[in-house]
Parts: sequence; structure tokens; C-alpha cells
Amino acid sequence: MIIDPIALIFLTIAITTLAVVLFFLARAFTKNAQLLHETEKANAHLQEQLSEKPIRLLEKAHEQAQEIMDQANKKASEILASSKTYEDNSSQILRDKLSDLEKQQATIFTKASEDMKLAYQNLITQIQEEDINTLKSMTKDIESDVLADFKEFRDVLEKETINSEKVVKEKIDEEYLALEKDLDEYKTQKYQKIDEDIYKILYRVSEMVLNEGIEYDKHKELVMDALETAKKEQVFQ
Amino acid sequence: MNNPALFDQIIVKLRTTTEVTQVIHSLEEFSGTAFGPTDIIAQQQIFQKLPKEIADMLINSLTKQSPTAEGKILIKRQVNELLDKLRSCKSVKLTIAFQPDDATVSLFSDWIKTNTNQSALLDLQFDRSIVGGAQVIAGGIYKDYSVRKNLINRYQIQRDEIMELLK
Repeated sequence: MIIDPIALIFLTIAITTLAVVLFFLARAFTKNAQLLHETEKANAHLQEQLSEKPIRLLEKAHEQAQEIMDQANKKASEILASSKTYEDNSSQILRDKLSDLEKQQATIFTKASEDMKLAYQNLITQIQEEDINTLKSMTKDIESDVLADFKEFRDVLEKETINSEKVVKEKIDEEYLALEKDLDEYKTQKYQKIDEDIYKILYRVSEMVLNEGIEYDKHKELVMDALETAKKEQVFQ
Repeated sequence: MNNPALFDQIIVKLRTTTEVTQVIHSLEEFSGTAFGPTDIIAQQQIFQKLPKEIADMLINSLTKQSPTAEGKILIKRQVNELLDKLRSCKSVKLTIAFQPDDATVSLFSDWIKTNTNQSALLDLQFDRSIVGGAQVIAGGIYKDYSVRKNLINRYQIQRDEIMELLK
């Protein structure tokens, strides 16, 4: 087997390059491992410090609190002592002021009472006068109302009376007209009956009297007269 | 043919519609025998039921001689014409309240013929209820000249007075 020299050169260059790269990688790894080791050490130290510090802090805080409370108690005792003195003084002043105030109030109340009494009397007088006026006004109002109502009542009564009269008059007129109509019909019927009766009576009397009474020649004469009249009236034209 | 003269002769003698009806019946009876076996006596007897003057006129005019067949036809025609004329005579209807005698009928008939027409006949009716006077109907015109009508008119005039009396 024959190896190409060019390919051999290239292979050599590649292997060399890889060896260089591998060298640098190993060096970087070593540096990083050292750094990691130092970091772990610092971390352990810090953890140790953290586990010891809170206890100390708590103890310190307790001491400070105790100290503050002692100071506060001391201040309170001083304040109470000063306030006792002040209280005594204030009570005396207050009693004096209350006494003055009581006197003033008594005077004010007396005056107010008198004013109120006067005002009340004035008010009562005024109310009485107003009542009297109101009563008078009411009497007048009632009188005018009663008069107005009475007038209205009288008007309504008059109106109703007139309406009633009108209705009655209309009814009477209607009845009168109906009666008049009935009377006319009755009269007409009666006239017809009388006419018929009269005709019958006349016929009968005429037949009885005239037929018996008219002589033969008179009959002839009457017929001839009738014919002459007919001729004059141009019945035969 | 002397038919018009016969009609004129007869109509002068006829006074009423009743008489004319009798003549018409007789002529119709005669006409029915005109073409049968000729029996002059039987034919003359037909007319003898009528008033004498009229019967004589008809007998002399229609049955004096035994006619021939041609003569029978002429007589038949003459009778028919006479019948037509008699049927077409105008009449005056007169309603009266009494029964007139023959002279009175003649009196009325003469008056009618004189004042209207020679061929006018009298149609006499009798009605007692008209009391007196007459009701006349001529040429479709009616007139009431009766005593009853006069009484009614008088009663109508005096009706109110009579009513007052009856109250």
C-alpha cells in the first residue's frame, strides 16, 4: 500500500492541531477546578458565620429592650408625680370656676325665666287675639259659605222645579195630544156611525114618507126634470 | 133591398132595450130557419110574439112570399144587417123609483129619441131606494138626479145643524 505524501502532510497537520487544542482544554479545566475549590471554602466559612450571628443579635436586642423599659418606668413615675400636683391645683380652680358659673347660670336662668314668662304671656295674648280674629273670620266664612250653599241649593231647587214643571208640562202636552187624537178618532168614528145611521134613517123615512106620499104624476115629473137637467148638463152629447 | 127603411121603421117603434132584445131573439130564430124547408106560417109565428106593429112590419118584409134560394140568401143578409144595426143602437140607462106604465115608458122614450137620437133606446131600471127622480147613464157619463141624492146633499149642508140637534 502506497500513501500519498500530500495526504500524509495534511494528516500530520490535523493531528498537531488537535494536540494543541487538547492542551489548551486541559489547562482551562485545571484552572476551573482550582477556582471551584476556593469558592467551596468561602461558602463553608460564610455558613459558619451565619449560624453564630442571630443568637448574638437576639441577646443584644433583649438587653436593649430591658434598658428601654427601665427608662420608661422611670419617666412614668416622674409624670405621675407631677400630675398629682397639677390635679390638686386644678380641682381647686375648677371648684371656684364652677361656683362662679353656678352663680352666673342662676342669674341667667332667672332672667331667661322672666323673659320667657313675658314672652309666654305676650304669646298667649297674641294667640288669644288671633283666636278671636280667627273665630270672627270663621264665623264670617261660615256665614258666607252657608249663604252661598243656600243660594246654590235654592238655584238647584229652582232649576229642578222648573225642569220638573217642564217635564210635567211636556207629559201633559203629550197626553193632551194623544187624548186629542183619540178624541178626533172617536169623533170621526162617531160621525161615521151617525152618518150611516142618519142615512139609514133618512132612507127609511124617505121611503116610508115619500114613496107613499109621492104621486105617480109627481114621479113622472121628477124623472122628466132629471132628463131636462141631464140635457142641460150635456150628458147626452 | 129595403133594409134601411125597415130598420128606420122598426126603430121608431122600439122604445126600450128589452124590446130590442126580444126583436133580436126573434130575428135570430128566424135566421135559423131561413135555409130550411120553407114554412111561412111557422116563420110568421116567430114574429107574432113581438108587439103587433113591429111583428107586422117584420112579417110583411121578410115572410110574405115564398122565396127562391137566391131570395133566401138576400133575406138572410138583410136579417144579419138588421141585427147588426139593432145591436149597435145606443141606449140611455135610466134608473127610476117607480114602475112606469106603457104610456109613461113611451113618454120617456119619445123624449130620449127627440132630444138625443132617433135610434136611442131606453134602458129602464127600477130601484125604490133612490126615492124619486132618476139616475142617468149615457155615453159613459153617470149622473144622479135622484131624490135620495138631493136628500144626502141637503143633509151634508145641514149636517152640523143636525148633529147639534142629536147631541
